[in-house]
Order: sequence, then structure tokens, then C-alpha cells
Amino acid sequence: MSNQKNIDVRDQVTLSFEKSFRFCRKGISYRLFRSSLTLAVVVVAVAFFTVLVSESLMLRSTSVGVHDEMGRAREADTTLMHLFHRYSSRDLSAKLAGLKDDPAAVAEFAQVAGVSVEMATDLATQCYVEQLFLHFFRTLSPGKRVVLVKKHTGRATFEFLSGTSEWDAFVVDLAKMRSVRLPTPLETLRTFLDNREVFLASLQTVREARDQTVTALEVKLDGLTGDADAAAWLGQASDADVAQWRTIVTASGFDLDPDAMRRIQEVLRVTALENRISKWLQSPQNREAWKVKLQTTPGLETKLLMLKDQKVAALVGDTFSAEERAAVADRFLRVKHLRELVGKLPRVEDTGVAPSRFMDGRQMFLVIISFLVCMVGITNAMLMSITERFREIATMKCLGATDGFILKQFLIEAAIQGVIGGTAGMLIGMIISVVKSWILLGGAVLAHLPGLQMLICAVATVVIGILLAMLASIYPARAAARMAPMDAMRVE
Amino acid sequence: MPFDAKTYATDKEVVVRAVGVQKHFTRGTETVKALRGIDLCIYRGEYVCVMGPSGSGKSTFFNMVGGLDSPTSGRVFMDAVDMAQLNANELAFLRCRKVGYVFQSYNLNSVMTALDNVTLPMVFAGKHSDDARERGMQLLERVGLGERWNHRPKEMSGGQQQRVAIARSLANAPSLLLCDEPTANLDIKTGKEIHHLLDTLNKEDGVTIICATHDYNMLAVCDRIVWIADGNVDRIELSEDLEITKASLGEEHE
Ligand SMILES: Nc1ncnc2c1ncn2[C@@H]1O[C@H](COP(=O)(O)OP(=O)(O)OP(=O)(O)O)[C@@H](O)[C@H]1O
Ligand SMILES: [Mg+2]
Repeated sequence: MSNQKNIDVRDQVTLSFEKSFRFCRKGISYRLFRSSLTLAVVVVAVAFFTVLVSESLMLRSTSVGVHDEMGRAREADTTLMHLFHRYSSRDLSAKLAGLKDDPAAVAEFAQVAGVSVEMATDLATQCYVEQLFLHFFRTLSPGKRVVLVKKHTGRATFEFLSGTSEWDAFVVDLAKMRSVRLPTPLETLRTFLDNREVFLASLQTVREARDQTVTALEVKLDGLTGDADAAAWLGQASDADVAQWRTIVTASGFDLDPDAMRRIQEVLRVTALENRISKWLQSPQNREAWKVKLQTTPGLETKLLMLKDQKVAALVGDTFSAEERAAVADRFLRVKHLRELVGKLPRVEDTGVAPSRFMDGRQMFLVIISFLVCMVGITNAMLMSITERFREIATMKCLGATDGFILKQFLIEAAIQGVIGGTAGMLIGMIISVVKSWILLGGAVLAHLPGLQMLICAVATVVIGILLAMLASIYPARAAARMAPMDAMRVE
Repeated sequence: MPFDAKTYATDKEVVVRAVGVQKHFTRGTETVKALRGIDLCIYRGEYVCVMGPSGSGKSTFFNMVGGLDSPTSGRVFMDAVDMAQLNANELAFLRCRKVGYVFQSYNLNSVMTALDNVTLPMVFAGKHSDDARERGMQLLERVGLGERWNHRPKEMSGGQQQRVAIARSLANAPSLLLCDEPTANLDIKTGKEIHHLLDTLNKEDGVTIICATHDYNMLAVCDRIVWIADGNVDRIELSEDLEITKASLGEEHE
């Protein structure tokens, strides 16, 4: 045994990424059917996830958009209410809390109520705290609320908590409830309670001051409008009269810029017209005419919607011009449509206090569940596709494949499946969610499509698909790669 | 005449040397002693048959020699390299270039064509794909399947699949071919074809072959027969010494 040749044993070559990739691609195309099953799982999981997320994005964006539109359609009403409404102490607190982040509105309020801007700001902040806690106690689960504040609701809660022994008990009970989170630090509530008397008093003062201003304004305006209701008067007044009306209003401290005035005036004109048309439509001789000429006696709503109809035009004759009828019918239709949409849409939480969140609790729960389902589904598919190939892996190891190559191969395969499955799933999910929302809400969805958010959602879901597929296959791939070839060969 | 390793080994180069190889499998409290201390040398260019009853430890020994498993105690040297000293990547290198495996159940990759199967070890060896294809075609022609290069295992008979497996095992020109019952799943005629193929590979190409088998026809073509019983080397016989025994065995068998 002297002539032994000492052969060298070196490290096995590491295959380049490109070679490994080509190897995987070939493998996938060979076992297309098997891979497509795994792929289908990824597609379904990602699609499911995309539908949930993008649907909630669309609903939210549409909801915000429609409520905005509704707000604009109601601008005249809200402005008039803003000018003439006399708030109760509670409503005023809610209103001021909503103004907290709007310095211009606070300044206007200060002007109207005849107080300094600092004081109004301070008051608004306190109102905000009050509203925060009112909201907090209102949304607390009944059981917890009873423990914390007994049966008290609304402002009585604060009264109750002002008692020393009650406060101490509250603090102790609160500390026990791990899941309950105060909206502010405890000291803020304490300070609020300490200053409550003063706060209520100044709120009262401000309220009375504001009411006086409003009464004075009404008296001044009566000189111009007579007994007429403001909305009806503005709907028929000349531009000069309206301008004068605005001057009086702004002199009282309210902000009302000419553009807003013009918009309001326009809407009020149509509303006044609508009132006149409605009155005319409901008159007995008109009803008779409809019955004779159209053989129907539709309700007022249907009549308003039919105003643009040719036959109806003949009926109406010269009483109202075509433009007038079109304006009334259009506005009526638009408001009706918006109202329907608002009824179907989830409420945008706008308490002036709790900022409306990205998703509500239920949706968040669904998304998390679907994420888990995704993960379990993909992990299972990957696990299956690897365990059923133990024998193949063992054979490859016998032929000189390194552990690293096996791992790399399965990770690349998972990534390819993640890219294809993720993209397909995302596209399918997007289409489904758009179609679904479109069926539910019609064109409004497309008008308020949150493009950027959807794009981010699309990219994110694809990335999630890839990451999930790769993550899910790391464990089985590693297990397979590290197995002694003989052990792997024995697994059936 | 009993087998005398010293006289036999004169001028021969050792490919595999097993020294006191033991392998115990522990399952729970029970320990199965599959190998109880095997000492064996295999020389270059030899054709060795390993015979023994089922469960005697032939496959287990093959796995030790091929670097698929490690012994509980004892050592296996391959071309004078102690396999126990090798790390995972070096073992992969060894499996890739020093040893060729032929399994009882072929173990071809069922989704790949014959040619892809044959070139697989060359891919792992980092060979250029054109060279790999060329050598793969040569090897397939060598085992008589040049026409069938584009067929999947499913489209071939057992004997043809085993020939593809043999071509694959030769891909990186290994020092040693390990065949674990290569004909067990084949009928006698096809088995003979495989024997013939292994024989020509040994005689013409000088490939060292260790072959486990139950098939007495095999004994005719090999140089030595290692009888294993109960995890020990029972006896080693030279094929030429066996003529008489073989004849009687053959009668017994047929
Ligand atoms: N992984 C294992 N775990 C436990 N026992 C094992 C394991 N592998 C083999 N054995 C045992 O080791 C002994 C030898 O098995 P081996 O497969 O080497 O036999 P063999 O000679 O190849 O038999 P055959 O001719 O049937 O293939 C048997 O008793 C078997 O039960
Ligand atoms: Mg065996």
C-alpha cells in the first residue's frame, strides 16, 4: 500500500445564482401541474388579502368623498345654521372641540362671542378634553363602565368623578383594567375635573355672549329682509341685496367670503325654485292635468324627477323655463343620489374627537385573520411541495448537490412562485374588489378611487406574497437540505 | 485455498479501506447493530460482489462507503482520505466526483429527460452545459440508449431506467461505482444485460465496482465475493476459487 495516491478533496463548487435560477425554472416548467397547485394557493391567498384591503380603502375614500360632496351640497344649510343657531352648552362644547385644530374658525368664534382669541383657544382645548372623555365613557363596554363610573352618563360622569372617594376608587379600578386605555394621561383628566366649575361657567358666559350677537344680527337683518325666512329671501333677492346682507353678517364678526356667498345664493335660488315648482305641482288643477294627459298620478318626487321629460314640458308650458326645470331636477337627483350613497356607505366616524382610522376594528380583525390564512395556506403548500420531494432531494445530494444549493433552489422556487402568484393574486383581487364596490356603489367608487393608496396596496400585497412564500419555505427547505441523504431517502 | 489479503494485495492500489466499521441504529431504548466491525480493502479496477442474506447490513455498509452516512465507530478511507474528517461541502464534492451510485429503485428524477438526469452530476460539478450534454450523450450511447435521450423515466422500461442510472453514476468519471442490488427489480434477462454492462465497464473502462446482490449469476463476472452475515465479513472468496461451489449453487438455484 505504498503507492497510495493522495487525492485532494476540495469544497464542492457553488453554483451561480443564474445557474440555480435556470435549474429552478426548468424544474417548475417540468412539474407545471404540481407547481400550479402551489401557485393557486398563493394566488387565492393574496387575492383574498388584496380584496379585503383594497375594498376597505375604496369604501373609505368613497365615503370621505361622498360625505364631502354632501357637505358641499348642504353648504347653504350649514352656513345659515352656523349663523343663527343657538347652541346648548353641550352642543357648544362639541362644536368648539371640533374647531380645536382650525385657528381661523376659533378666531371667528372669538370675534362673534366678543372674547380674546387666547381664551377661545383655551376653551376649545378644554372642550376637546371634555369631548374626548365623553366619547371614551360612551364607547366603553357596559360592564367596565359600571365598574368605573356606576350608572352615570354624559356630564354627570364628571360630576361623579369629582368626589374624592369616587376618584380614588376610579383610579384603583382603572389600574386593574389592563385593556382600558385612557385617551390622555390621567393627570389631564384630573386637571380637567379640578377646573370644571370654571370651565362650565366660562362656557356659559361665552354662550350667552354669542347668543346676544346672534340676536342683534337678526334684528339688523330684519331691517333688510322683513319677516321673510333667510333662506327664502336669499333665494329671490337681487345680487345687491345679497351683498348688503353679507356686509351686515360680516360686521357681526362672522367670516363669510364672497365666493361662499355666491355658492350659497346659487343653491338657495334653486331651492326656492324647487319650492315654487313643488307647490305648483301639488296644486289641484295640475294634478288633474297630469291625470288627463299622462294617465298617471305620480308622487311629488317622481314628478320632480320627470321635470326634464318632453311630455311634462308640454304640461308645464310657460310657467317655468326649461333651464329652471333642469336646474331643479338636476339638483334634486344629485341630492337624492348622494343620500342613497350615504345610506349604503359605512359611516365615517366624525365626532370631531376620535380621528377616523384607516380601518375599523372589524375590518382590522378580518385583515389579520386573512393574513394568517394566507400564511398557513402558503406554508402548507410549500411544506407539501418540499416533503413530497424528499426522495428527489436525497438523490440530488447523493449526486453531489450541496446543502446550500438545495436551500437556494427552494428559495428561488418559492420566490418565483411568490412573484407570479402574488402578481396574479393581486390583479385578481383588485379586479374583484373594484367590481364588488362598483356593484354596491356605482360610479361613485371610480370617481373617488384612491389611486396612490391602491398602488401602495398592490405593491405591498405582491411583496407580502413573495415574502410569505419564501419565509414559509425556509424551514422545510432547511430541514430537507440538512438531512442525511439516507434519512431523506427513507422518507416515503 | 482460503483468501489471503496479503498475497492478493501485491501491487494493487487501494480505493476504499474500511477499518472496524460499526453502525448502530438506536430507536428508543432498542439498539440495532447493523454493522459489527467490518474490515475491508477494495482495490482499483476490481469488481467486488457483496453477498449476504437480507438484513445482513449490505446497504448500510454501502452508505458508509459512499459518504451517505457516517459510521458509529471505525473509519472509512476513500482514496486514502478519511471520510470522517470531511465537512458537508467536501462530502458533497466526494459524492459528486469520487463515487457513482446505482440504486435498486433507480432514483431517477421523474420530471427530467434521460439526458438531463445524466448531466445532473455534471451540473453540480460546475461543468459547462455544452460539455455536459456532449458527455451525457456519449454515456447514454455507452449504455445503449443514445436514441432515448429525450425520454422521461416514465416512458422507459425498468432495465432502460437502470441503464440511465448507470450512465448518470459515471458522469463525473468516479473512482468507484457503488451498486446496491441494481438488478433486484428486473427480470432475469434484463438483469443479465445490466450484468453485462457492468462487466464491460469494469473490464474495458477500468471502473472499480462494488455490487451488492442476491443474484448468483453476478458471481461469474466479478473478481471477489465478500460474504457478509449479521454485520460481519463472513468470508472473502476469489471468483476463480468458486467455480465448483458456483456450479453446485447454480444447480440448487435453478
Ligand atoms: N435507519 C435504520 N434504523 C434502524 N435500523 C436500521 C436502519 N437502517 C437499517 N437498519 C437495520 O440494519 C440492518 C441492516 O440493514 P440493511 O438495509 O443494511 O440490510 P441489507 O443487507 O441491505 O438487506 P437487503 O438485502 O434486504 O437490502 C437491518 O436489520 C435493518 O433493520
Ligand atoms: Mg439493501
